[in-house]
Amino acid sequence: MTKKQLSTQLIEKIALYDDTAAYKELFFYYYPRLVQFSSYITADKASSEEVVSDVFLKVWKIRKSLLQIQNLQLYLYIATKNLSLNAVKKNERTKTFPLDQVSVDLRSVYLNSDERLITSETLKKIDKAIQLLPPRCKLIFKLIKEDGLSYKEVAGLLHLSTKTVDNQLSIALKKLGDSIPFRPVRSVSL
Amino acid sequence: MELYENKLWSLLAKKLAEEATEEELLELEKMSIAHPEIVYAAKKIEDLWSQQPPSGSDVEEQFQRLISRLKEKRLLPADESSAEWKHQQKNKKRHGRWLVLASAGATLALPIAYFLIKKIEPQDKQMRIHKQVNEVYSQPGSKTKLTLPDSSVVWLNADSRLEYGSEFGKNTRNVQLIGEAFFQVQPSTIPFIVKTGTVHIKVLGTAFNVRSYPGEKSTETSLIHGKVEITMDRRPDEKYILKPNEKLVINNDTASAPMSKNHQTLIVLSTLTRSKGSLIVETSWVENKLVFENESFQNLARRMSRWYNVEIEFADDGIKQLYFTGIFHKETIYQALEALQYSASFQFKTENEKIILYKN
Repeated sequence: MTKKQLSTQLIEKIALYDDTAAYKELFFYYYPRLVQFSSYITADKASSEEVVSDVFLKVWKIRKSLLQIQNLQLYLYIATKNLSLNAVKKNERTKTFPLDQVSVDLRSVYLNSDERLITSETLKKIDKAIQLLPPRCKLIFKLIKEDGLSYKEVAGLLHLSTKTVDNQLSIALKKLGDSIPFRPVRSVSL
Repeated sequence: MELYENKLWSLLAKKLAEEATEEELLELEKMSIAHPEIVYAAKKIEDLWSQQPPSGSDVEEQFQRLISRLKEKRLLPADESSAEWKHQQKNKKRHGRWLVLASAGATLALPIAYFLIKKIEPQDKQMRIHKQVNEVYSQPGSKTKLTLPDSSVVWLNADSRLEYGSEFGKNTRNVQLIGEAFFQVQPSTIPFIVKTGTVHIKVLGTAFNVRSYPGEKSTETSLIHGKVEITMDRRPDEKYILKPNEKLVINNDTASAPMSKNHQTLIVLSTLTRSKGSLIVETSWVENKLVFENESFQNLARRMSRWYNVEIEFADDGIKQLYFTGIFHKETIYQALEALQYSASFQFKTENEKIILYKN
């Protein structure tokens, strides 16, 4: 398993050649993730779609200086976070970061999963366990597992220490692990 | 939850997030043997770890909307046809999640892509003509790595700029450099030419370093592998050929002045400086090390200024001629200056975000 990383080549294509195909690739990869991330803040899909569209507009505007950004992935998430918070303010909602209403929709993902790896019974158990995770824990789990952010990126994005990120992820895994019954039919190795 | 179990989950978390060190992975293995039930659960979780969120068919729609917005704001030419066909064709051989996701959104289009390519291409070339120059620069205090269209790799040191035209790689491979860069040039029949202010460096498949900062007295070219030929603008008949491990230092005044018999020899051909442990001084910056060998404080201070992105000034001229030898790797500027104080007598202070060096 390789960590997803924004290839420098992709960024170069956009920054140096105004390559719209590369820009589209970037969009396709990040749009679903950023919209989902944004909706944790706005709790409103339509607002989030607008926010992410704005983020990408900005990316195109500043494309010539993209190579100077140390971590473009983190930049995208932070920009999304900020614009989402602005959108919320504009709509005069006085909610704080509404993690309570976070619904990590991981159900649709597992419909595509290779069912030979996991039985649907186990899947349901894990899914339920995820839904029951405390909000911040659930968010961190999602950012690392699905979006492939690093500890450092999550820490920077949510203003936490990497130790806290590790703790939260461990808690999440432990809770998921507890939901899976042990059936020692044969020995397994990691 | 027991402390031991906590640790196990923590290590597993690090492993899945790809944040675990070698030692941590080993520790995890050892601990797993004692807890097969956790291992079982962990394996299941690991299996589902690599799932992707679905793209959804409306991503394409959203992208088209974005393109319309960009066109409205004149950030894209109105007749811009997305070069996606050409792009998908080029990337057919790449195996990455990127490609999978991009295709997922346009699988229907793929078969048609191949046939359309020939038609779209000439149009595409035309659109690119208005782009004349590509420019990459790295700011003081940072380094940038860049891959050129011919797959040559360039590392730009702090405060440097590289320019090349859009025809790079077709019949010519010309780049313009201000500052310092390390080149790893792809072999090709097309000569690779680096032009600094006053000096041309022609290469055929090599690795070499060029240092030409405005405000410095000389231009330095250091060769690691291969062969380079160096000429000066005003003296095109004088060619210098460097062999590996040699360096050429040209005084910038000499390079820009016409031939004159009374001129002092201000061109020095010498071997590269190797410090202990065979770290080559001239190119150690590529490995993020600031190496100096019997270097005057005046020169060193200038290099440190660029390296740390801090202005450094001398209050006393006398200390400019102190000489230092050493390596800086991860020190802060203050730690570096303190280290220098061990071997020579001077003081420094900070004033208005500048560092002032003065005698004791």
